[in-house]
Amino acid sequence: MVQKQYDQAFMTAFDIDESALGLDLKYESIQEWDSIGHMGLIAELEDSFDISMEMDDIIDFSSYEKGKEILKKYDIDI
Amino acid sequence: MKTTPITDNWGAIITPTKNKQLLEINRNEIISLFERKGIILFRGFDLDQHDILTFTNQFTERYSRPDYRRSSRFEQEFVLDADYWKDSYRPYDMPLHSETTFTPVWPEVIWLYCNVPPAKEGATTVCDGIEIWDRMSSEIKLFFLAEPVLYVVEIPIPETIKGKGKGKKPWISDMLGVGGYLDWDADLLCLNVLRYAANKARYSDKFCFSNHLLADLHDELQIKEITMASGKAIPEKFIDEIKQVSDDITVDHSWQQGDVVMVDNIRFMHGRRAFEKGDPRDILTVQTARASFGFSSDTRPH
Repeated sequence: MVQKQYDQAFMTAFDIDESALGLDLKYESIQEWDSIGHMGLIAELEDSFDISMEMDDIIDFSSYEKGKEILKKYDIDI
Repeated sequence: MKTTPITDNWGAIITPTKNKQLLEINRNEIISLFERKGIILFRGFDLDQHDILTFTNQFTERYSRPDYRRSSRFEQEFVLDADYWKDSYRPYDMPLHSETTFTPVWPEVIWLYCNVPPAKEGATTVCDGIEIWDRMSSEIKLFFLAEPVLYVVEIPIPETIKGKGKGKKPWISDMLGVGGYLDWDADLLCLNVLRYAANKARYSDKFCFSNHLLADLHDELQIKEITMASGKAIPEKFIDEIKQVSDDITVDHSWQQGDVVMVDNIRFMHGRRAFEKGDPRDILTVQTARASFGFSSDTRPH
């Protein structure tokens, strides 16, 4: 369930398919994940998990995989 | 095709001799000419307004996201009305400026396409930033080399992410010198944009003066304040001198239907002469954020 929520946030924010998710999905690895897309992704995650991310975490959220580590701080295990 | 200069120092006009297909001109010839001349006017070719992107795609790695003050055409988000203030007509000249110098996106190349030329007046003005720099006094040059200009701006949140978040969040830009925050509740990006008033030209080692310092801020509501990075004010006498210098070397481009103009937006500033209310003038613009050739390109086939 949590994994699905996490994946859905990426797919919605970047308008991408499930096949694009994974280790290779990083900031600027696709055109949609630019500075604007980054804020859209953070907003999707905050809304989906009902959290408010700290500034350092927003900055550190550099990839699909890294995001999983960061969300642990918010008691979200993916 | 035939090539003629616009001035002794910059610009080229390309016209067809037999073949009127713009899409068939050799791409590398265009790039070579553009890098040296800074502006190319393609005149007399058969290019329908719907095919603009087919042409510009050859030179573009990434387009600027649309400026939401402008309407897009034919459901192509990157083909925009050049005159975004059409609904609230302003009957005066638009001063020289480099397109969106004050935002996180500063297009390398801008394209203008004349769908309908103005019936009277309404020429587009262009001015070479290298020539301005060369003619500026040493006092002003040193002033602008000492530190960047600070643009304090408020930009509407792009439609693609509007309304998605809450509160204020830090804005992480992929453009150096840009910082600030995103205010989801006010639908605004509040940014401090640091950018030098002069930059090195694409092709030579020369400085070119191209920025938003001559613009009328009444027309540019996104800019809240302009100072130097240290907070120092920019002396009015400097702006007056630069206006005088640029007035002397500004060239008017009078439009013909089908004209396509390719402009080095890092080197050149452009503006527009006033035109009468109700004039059918219809100019479209496309903004190449990142060219697919030259110094900043990943693809660099040239």
